[in-house]
Parts: sequence; C-alpha cells; structure tokens
Amino acid sequence: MVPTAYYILLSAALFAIGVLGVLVRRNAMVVFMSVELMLNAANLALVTFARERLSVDGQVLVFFVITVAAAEVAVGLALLVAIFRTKRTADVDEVSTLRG
Amino acid sequence: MLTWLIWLIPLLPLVGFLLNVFFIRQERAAGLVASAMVVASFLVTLVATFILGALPEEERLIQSVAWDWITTGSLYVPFAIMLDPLTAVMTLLVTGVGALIHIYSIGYMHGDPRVVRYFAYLNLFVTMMLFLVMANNMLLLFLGWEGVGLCSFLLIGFWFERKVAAAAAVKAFVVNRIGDAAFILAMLAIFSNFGTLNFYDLEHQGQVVPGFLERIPEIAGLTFGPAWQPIAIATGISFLLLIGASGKSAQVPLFVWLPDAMAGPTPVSALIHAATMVTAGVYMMARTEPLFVASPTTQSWVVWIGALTAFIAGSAAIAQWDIKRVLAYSTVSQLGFMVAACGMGAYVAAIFHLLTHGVFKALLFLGSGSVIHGTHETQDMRKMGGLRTAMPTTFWTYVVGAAALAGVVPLAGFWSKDEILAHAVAYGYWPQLIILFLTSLLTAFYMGRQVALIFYGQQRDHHYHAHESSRVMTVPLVVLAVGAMLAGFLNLPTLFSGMPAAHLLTDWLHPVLHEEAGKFNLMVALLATAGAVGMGYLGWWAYTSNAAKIKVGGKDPAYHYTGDLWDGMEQAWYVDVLYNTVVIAPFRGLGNFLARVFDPQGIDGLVVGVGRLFGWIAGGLRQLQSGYVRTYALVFTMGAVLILGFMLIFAR
Amino acid sequence: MSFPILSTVLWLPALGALLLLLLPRGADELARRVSLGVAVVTFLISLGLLSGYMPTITSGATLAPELQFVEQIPWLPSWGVSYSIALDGISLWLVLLTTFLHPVVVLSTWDSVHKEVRNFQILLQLLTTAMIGVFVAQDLLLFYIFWEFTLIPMTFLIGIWGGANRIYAARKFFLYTFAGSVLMLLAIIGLYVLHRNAVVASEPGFVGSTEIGRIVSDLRAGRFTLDTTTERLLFGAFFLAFAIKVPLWPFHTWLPDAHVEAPTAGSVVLAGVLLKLGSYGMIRFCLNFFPAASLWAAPAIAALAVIGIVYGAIVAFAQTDMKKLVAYSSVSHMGFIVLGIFALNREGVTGALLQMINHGLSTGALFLVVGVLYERRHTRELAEYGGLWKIMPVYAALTLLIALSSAGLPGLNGFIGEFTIMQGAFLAPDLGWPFLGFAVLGVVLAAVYLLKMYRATFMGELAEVNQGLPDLSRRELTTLVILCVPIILIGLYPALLFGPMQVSVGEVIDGLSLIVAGR
Repeated sequence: MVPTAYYILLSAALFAIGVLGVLVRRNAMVVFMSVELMLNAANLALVTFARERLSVDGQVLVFFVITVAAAEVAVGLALLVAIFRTKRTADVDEVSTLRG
Repeated sequence: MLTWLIWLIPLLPLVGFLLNVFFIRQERAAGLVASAMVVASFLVTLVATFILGALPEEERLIQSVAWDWITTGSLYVPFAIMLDPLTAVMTLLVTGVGALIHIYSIGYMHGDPRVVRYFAYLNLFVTMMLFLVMANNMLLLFLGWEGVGLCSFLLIGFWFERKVAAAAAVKAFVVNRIGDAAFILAMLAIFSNFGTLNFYDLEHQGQVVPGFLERIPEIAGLTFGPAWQPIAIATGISFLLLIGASGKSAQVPLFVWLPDAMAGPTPVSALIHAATMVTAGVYMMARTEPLFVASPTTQSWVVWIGALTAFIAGSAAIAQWDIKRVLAYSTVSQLGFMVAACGMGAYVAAIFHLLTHGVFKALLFLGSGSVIHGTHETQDMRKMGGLRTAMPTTFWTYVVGAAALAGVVPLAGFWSKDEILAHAVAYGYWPQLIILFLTSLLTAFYMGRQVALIFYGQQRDHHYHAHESSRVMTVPLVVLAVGAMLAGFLNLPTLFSGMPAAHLLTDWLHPVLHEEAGKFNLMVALLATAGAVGMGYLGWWAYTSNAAKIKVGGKDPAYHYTGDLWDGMEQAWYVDVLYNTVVIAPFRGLGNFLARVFDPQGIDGLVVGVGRLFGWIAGGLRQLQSGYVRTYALVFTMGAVLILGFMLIFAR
Repeated sequence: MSFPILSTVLWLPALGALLLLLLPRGADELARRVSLGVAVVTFLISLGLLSGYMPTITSGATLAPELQFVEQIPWLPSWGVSYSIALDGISLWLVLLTTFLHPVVVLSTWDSVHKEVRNFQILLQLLTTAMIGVFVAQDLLLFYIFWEFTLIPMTFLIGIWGGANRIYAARKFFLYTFAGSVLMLLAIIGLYVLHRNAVVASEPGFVGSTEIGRIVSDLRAGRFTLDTTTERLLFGAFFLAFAIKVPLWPFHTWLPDAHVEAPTAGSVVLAGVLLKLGSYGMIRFCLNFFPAASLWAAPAIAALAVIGIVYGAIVAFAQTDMKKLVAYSSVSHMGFIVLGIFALNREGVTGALLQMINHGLSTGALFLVVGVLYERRHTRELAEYGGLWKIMPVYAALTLLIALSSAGLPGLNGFIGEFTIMQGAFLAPDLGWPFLGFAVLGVVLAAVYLLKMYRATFMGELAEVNQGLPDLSRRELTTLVILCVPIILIGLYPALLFGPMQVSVGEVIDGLSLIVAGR
C-alpha cells in the first residue's frame, strides 16, 4: 500500500509544475496543457482523499472536473484557433487588447 | 329672489366676454353687445339695490352660495357672493361708470383692428371687478382682485407692439403681485386664527359657516413673532392687508405702476386706473374695517401712507407734460386721500370720496381721451393750447370735472374732500391734515395749469386739425359732468338743523360701517374753498399769461424758479430710479450669478465632481488591468497562497 | 373576480408596444395612429376607474374600503411577494393624470418626432405602463421594479431623440436618479428583513411580506417597531431617492439638462408625470412607514423646499432659453409640493396632491407651448422672438392662459393648489409664517419670470424672420385645448378632486398624529 502522503506529494508537485507552466510559458498551447496538469493534480488529490475517507463524493467530483476540463479545452482551443487566425501567433502576451 | 338676481350682475358681463371671445367678429356687434351687457347689469343692480333698501336695516345682507369651492381638511371656502349696502354702492359705481365708458369706447376705439378683443377684455374686467366687490369671502375677493389685475395687464398692453406699453403692462402686474403676496399671507393668517375666510356668518345647508369680521375680539391680545418683539396678530394681519391695498390702490411705496399704466387706451385709464380697479384697495380696507380698527398701530401707518402718497403724487402731477400722466398722478394723490381717510377711521368719507372721485376722474379721463382723439393722438400738452373753441363740449365738461376735483363748491369733490378734512380736524390728526390740505392746494393748481395748457392760449403745434368728438363720446361726458355736479349731494353734511337729505350715504352704509355722521366744519370748508379757487386761478393765470414761453419740447416756465426741484417732481421724486438701482438691478445680478455661475459650477459642479472622482479612481485602478493573462494568473496564485497561508497559520 | 380593469389600464400600453413592434419600420403614420388609438382607449378605460371609484365616506360613515380595484396574485410566495395592485385616493388622480396626458403626448409627436417614429411610440407606451405601475403597485418589490423601469424608456427618449448634447443629458439623468434609487432598494430589503424578524416572533412560520398595507398596519399596531436611528436611516434612503426624482433643491441639476435635450414629448412626460413619482413616493412611503422620522426631518426638508421655490424662480428669471426657463420653474413648483407634503397635515398633503396634478397639466402644457415655437423656428432663445401676438393670436391666448395657470392666478388650477399648500404649511406647528414669508416670494417671482417670457415672445415688435409664422395647426390647437379644459375646471371646482383624497390622506395623517400624541 502506497502511503497517502505520496499521492499528495505527487499531486502537489504536479500542481506546482502546472502553475509554473501557466506563469512562465507564453505559448497558449502550453498554457492550456499546464492548466490541464493543475486540474489533474486536483483530481489526484480528490481521489486520494476519497479513498482515504471511504467516500464516493470525491470520485464524483472528479468526473465533474473531467467534464468541465473537456468543455474548457473545447472552448479554449476554439479561442486559440480564432486568435491564431487573426494574430498569426499563439503568444498569450500578444493578446492584451483588454488592457485597461 | 335676490339670491339668484344678484348672480345676474356679474354673469351678464361674463356672457358678453364669452360672446366676444368665441362668436363675435364684427366691431359694431362687439361694442353693442359689450355695452348692452354692462347696461343690463347696471339695471339689475339698480333693481337689486331698491329691493335691498326695502328690507329692514339689519337684514340688508344677502348671501348666495353657488357651490363649494375649496373643501379639504378644515379648509372650507364657498363660491359665494353677497349684496349689502357697501357692495351695492360699489356695484352701482362699477356698472354705472362702466356702462358709460363702454359706450364711449365705441366711438373712441372705432377703427382699431383689435376692437373685438378690446371689448372682450373690458367685459371680463367688469366681471372680475364685480366678483371683487360682491365676494362674500376673502378668497373670492382675491379672485376678482387678481382677475382685474390680469385685465389691467391685458388692457395696458393692448397695443403690445409698443415697447412702452408692453413694459408698463408687465410692471403693473408684477408690482401688483407684490401686494397680492401680502394679501395671500393675510388670508393664511386670517384662516389660521379664525378658521374661516367668510366675511359674515353664512347659513349654508343647515349649518352656519362663521364669518371672521364678527369675531375680531377673539384675537384681541394674541401675539406672534419672537419673544423680544411680540406683534399683535391684528396688527400683523391688517398690516399685510395694507400692503395688499397699497399695491392695488397705488400707494407709497408701490404706486410706481399707475403712471406707466397710462400706456393703455384712454377709456381703460378712465375705467380701470381711475374709477374702479384702483379703488379696490380702499374698498377692501373698508370691508375689513374691524380688523384695521382693532390695530391702532396699523391705522397710524395707514394715515401716514395715505397722506404721503397724496402729497408725493400731487407734487408730481404739477410737473407733468403728458395730459394723462397729470391725471394719473392726480389719481394716485386722490387715492391717498381715501386711504388716509380709512386710517383716520372715516370709512364713510373714504367711500364717499371714492364714489365722487370715480365720477369726476372718469369724466376727466374721458375728456382727455376726447382731446387726444380730437388732436390725432397728441398727448403732450405743449402741443395743445386754445382748444376750447374747437371742442366746446369737451371743454365745458372738462372744466366741470377739474373744478370738482379741485374742490369748488358745490361740486362733488368739495363735499367728499371736505368730509375727510373735517374728520381730521375733529380727531386731531394735525400733521396729516396739513399735508392733505397742502395737497388739495396742489390739486387745484395743477388742474388750473392743465385747463390753461389745453384749452387756453394759442394752438402751439399745427400738425393736426382739432375737432370735436362724435356724439357717442360727448354724451357720456355730459352725463358724467352732471354726475360730477350732483354726486356730492349723496352725503351732504347737516348745513342747517332740520335739513332733510343729509348724510344719505352714511345712513345707507350704517349697517356695514356703523359710523356716525361727521360734523360740518365751516372753518375748514371756507379755507379749502378759498384755497381751491385761489390756487386753481393761480394755476390758470400762471400758464395763460406765460403761454408764450411754452415751447414744444421746452421746459416749464416754473422751472426757472424751482430749478432741479422741478425735475424731481417730474420724476415723482425718483422712486422709479430708486427701485431700478436698489431692487431690479441687484435682482438681475443675483439671477445671472445663480444661473450662470452658482448653479452650473457650484451645485452641478458638485454633482459632476462626484462623477469625476469616480472616474479618477477608476483611472488609477485601470492600470492594474495590464491585459497580460499571465500577470493575472500570477496575482491570482499569490492571492491563493496568501489566503491559504493565512488559514494555515491563524485559522486553526 | 370581476373584470380586472386596473390591470387592463396598466398593461394595455405595454400590449400596445408589442403591437407596434409588429408594424414595419417605415410605417410612421400608421405607428402614430396605432399609438394614439392605444392611448385613447387606455384613457377611456381609465375613466371607468373614476366612475367605479366609490366615495369612501359620506357624513362620517365609511362606505367602501380604502383600497379599491384590488388585484392580488401570489408571485414569489416563499418571500411573501405578490403581484398586488390597487387604487386609493392618493393614486387615483395620478393614474388619471398619466392616462390623460398619454394621448396628448402621442398627439404632440406628430410635430416633434421625425425619426424612428415607431420605436419612439413603443418607448412611450412602455413608459406609460411603468408609470401607472408605480402609482398602483401595492407591493414594495413590484413598486421598485416599475420605479426602475421608468428610467429605461426615458433615457432612450432623451438619448436618441434629444438635442445636440443628448448623450450627456441622458447619462446624467440615468445615473443621478439611479444612484438614488439603489439606496432605496437597500432600504426596501432592510425594511423587509426587519419586518419579517419582528413579526415572526408572534407569528411562527411567517415568511415576510412586501405588501405595503401589511407593513403599515403592523407598524401602526405596534407589532413592528423601528428604533429611532434605524428609522431615520431608512427614511433617509427612501427620501433621497424621491428627492432626486422630484427634484428637490439641491438635487435638481439633472432636470434642466434633461429637459433642454429631451424632445417635446419627452419633456411633457418628464414634467407631467415622472417628477410626480418622487412626490408620490414621499407621501406613500416616507410619511406612511416613517412618521416619526418625517416629523423629525420636516422643518429641514421644508427649508430645502422653500429654498428651492425661491432659487428655482430666480434662476428661471435669468434664463434666455425658454425650455430652461420652464425647467427651472418646475424646480420652484415642485418645491411647493414638497412643502405641502411636509406640512404633515390634511390641507398640506391634499394641496400637494392637487398641485401635482396641476403641475402636470400646466407645465406639461408649457413644454408643448415651447415646442410649438421650436418646431417653427428651431430655436428657443427669447431674443429671437417678439410681437407674435399679432400673427398668432390663438396661440398667444392659450399660452397666456397656461402661463397664468402656472403663475397661480386665482380661478385657474395652480392657485388652488398653492393656496391650499400654503394654508397647510401655515397651520403646521413646526413651520408657520417664517417659511411662508419666503414661499410667497415664489408666487411673486412666478409672475415675474413667466411674464418676462410672455413679453419677450408675444409683445413688442415683430421681427422680420417671424413674419410668416403660421398660427396653431388644428392638431396643436386640439392638444392645447384638451389641457386647458381641466386647467379651468380645477380652478373653479377643485372640490371634485379633493373629495376622493380625503380618506386616504386622512389615514396617513392619522398615523402621524399618533406619533405627535405620543411625543
């Protein structure tokens, strides 16, 4: 039996990598992937705690997250395509038209 | 029967007004209908007065309610009119003189393009004036009061293309409004203290609506105002009414509108600005006499205001060149006599003078109208002279009117003015008596001057061919001249014991004013007559013998002796100038300051400033919105870390 | 349940708006006619309200309930919110004023609106429904919804069909009045929660109620009490919203901008009805819900009202733009209304109610009068005119009548209202003669500025450019004459209007006098 702490540590590491990816990478595609990484880190933590506490709530929540993530990717990729068409780039820093 | 009959009196002219506004388009029809309605109204008044006279003295008060006008909360005001001896006298004057002036107007206004409108206004005026004198409560009186003010505005501004007329019309209305504001305040105070605006107790639908004139003792001793300076309520109310009266009756300090009001057609000046409307203030003071009597403080103000007005206007009348302005200032002066009489408690004398003055001043105005008409719209007396041969009827009637005004025995003015002076002697109003006596000397002088300037000497301007006016204008003149000779006999003093027809008016008004007949004072009468004849002759002599010195556009011969004083009199002691600099100019300045600076920049500046403040704050905050998604993510992450850290450390 | 006549009157204009939506865009004449038809039908049906309104009291005996034409349908039952509308003596005449002015306003659009006619009519109809809704709503939430909804059509009327500076004016109008009403929303929620918490103690399971009558009766019965500070805060929040709408000095600066930029029809609605929402709210909510706070604040508010009366008049005098002059005269006149309300007695409040009607008629008519000239010459500068009496006698006569009604000439409507208000204020123990001394100045100044305008336009010499101006067209004549009829009628027989007000206003005043007695 792998101790719970390991799962949590793995989850935390994944999350941190995801955060760093979002913050430092400029390619929108990579940013998306990093976001996915964070979501899955959260999923891992949820499943872990669900097992630990012998409750299905966490498992159910994971399915929600997966669904939302899928939807998000669909919308996000569509946006990405749209941006690429107009700007000819996938650099998120180029898309700053909402500057105040 | 009287309860419905008296409604006919104001309604007949009203019908004339409506007909003239909506149906009549021809000059001839307009004049005939308008005059017929007022004549009919006069006849009804005569009948009603005879019926009233047949009643026993204490029952001579007929009230008639048409409908409930204002009913809310404790406020109850009926739309109701009444007929009592005082009202009857006033109504006879209004409809009688009014009818003559209507007829005269047919000739005078002939050919004017807006003559239908003229007669409509005139009818409306008579209606409103009748409501004024017949109202059984203050509020309806006020309806008439402002209604005649409106008609005055319309008629002064009848030739509205003339700038002078337009300005005079607005001035008249606004100055009157100042008095009216005081009148409104007085009504509010009356209602607050008595709970009613009716003059006398009124039985209506089985209930008695109280009247305040019979309840004056209830407010005796009551005061208002700050503790260090309490004011008797009776004084407060009556003083406000006095201000109201001085607006309408052109007293100091509100008399400035009346001379300007001469910009209207001359019959209007005769009817409104001499015989009827301007006497409304005197009527109102006589009507609310118990209130005034209850306040000696106000009464002394009343006497002084009357006497001062009489003198100031009398002196101004001397120095005028415009034929109508002389009469206008003379009217103000005579109104001052009436007001002073009220202040001395001689209400009957005031009403008596009101009546006689109504007749002879209307005569003088109509006479001047005839002169103006016959000289092709000439009003400057320097351009006249020698008209007595061309206009004999006008001349003779004018002389009668002038003599009546000057107070020559036995014409109307003598008796009424004498009664006022005798009263002043009897009750010891010495300083005021002297002023009034001097004024009566001035009166005789300026009438002598006027007659000389118009009718004697040689015609000084030959641009017109003078001619006598038509019959429709001279007949009213003759009728009024007869009236001016006889009106004094309405209230003769007891000249010898056992004299039959003495004090008719005093007796008739006794149920309303409860006054005893004044005593005849031979000394005063002799002095006044001698003064009148002497000064009148002096005025006539001075301007006939110096006729050669009078030039068109030139100075008065008297200017040589009096110098700048004469200018002062010509400008009525610069009261108008004073108002322009002290009231009107600062008011304009204040208005412009508030409208151009304070409102847009002060108040609105504050409002817009609040908006700007938010804009400024937002301008700072928008810098945070860099548009870089990754910056947002960093801030977001740091925020999350901070909150989590906070929870870990503190929220155990 | 009988025929829901009140709902019909309320929703018919909105239905008319839907109908107009179906019309093709370019059909201007058709849109105007349909709109006029809807307006006239609405007015005729609303006359049914007048004839069906039972006199509530005759010689001391109560004959009919205070609220009539009650319609109540649960809406959000879990919060105690319902669609609840009814009429009482306070709202009866205001509803009739709205439906009466509605056809007049539509008639005036023939001359004053030339673009997007259909959409203009749609907004007018929606606005009418919203305004009637404010007057008939007996539920706080419903009231608030209608209240806010009046803003939207009006903002567009100003912002789309207005003059050169219309966007600024529309934005100012919207933001200013909206800022006030947001506070009112807070106060409504607060009142609701406090009421629920107070009543639930004696009535377990109570979910709260936004019914105005319920809250008032609980307040009077002592089941629901507010401590002094809370009451004053809530009062302040309500009052501010109403004061901005009225507008009370010094919250008036949106009004001249809005009036000057708005098209004629918009100005008429704005002055005629929209301002009355504020003064109506003061009577319905401030006096009813917070009698003690009203008494506490009355002298200060009356002072503001009197300042407004004089200030508005002086500023009106200094204007050279006719519309601005009339707009500032509104500030002055609305000051009288607020003075009457905060006299806190029957004379004052009924006088204020009457004056609301009067102001709606007279000032509405004055804006129409200005519109007549504007359509002919496209300027409102006084200096451009003069001597028009000569060529436009009918117009001059009607204008004079309307101006005098506004200036308070006895025998016309304005005087009755002003006099009753002043009498009320004189009788009020907290106000009295010093206030009146200044208020009466407003009466003098009203004559000054209105006659100034009249003299500048109608008297004096006729300028060359104005030689050919035609007198009133038949349509213009109709609109003005329709307004002049009640102006004269009310002046001579105001008892007609005062009658139905007595019981409802009496209730409000009784609530106040309970507080006075306890003081």
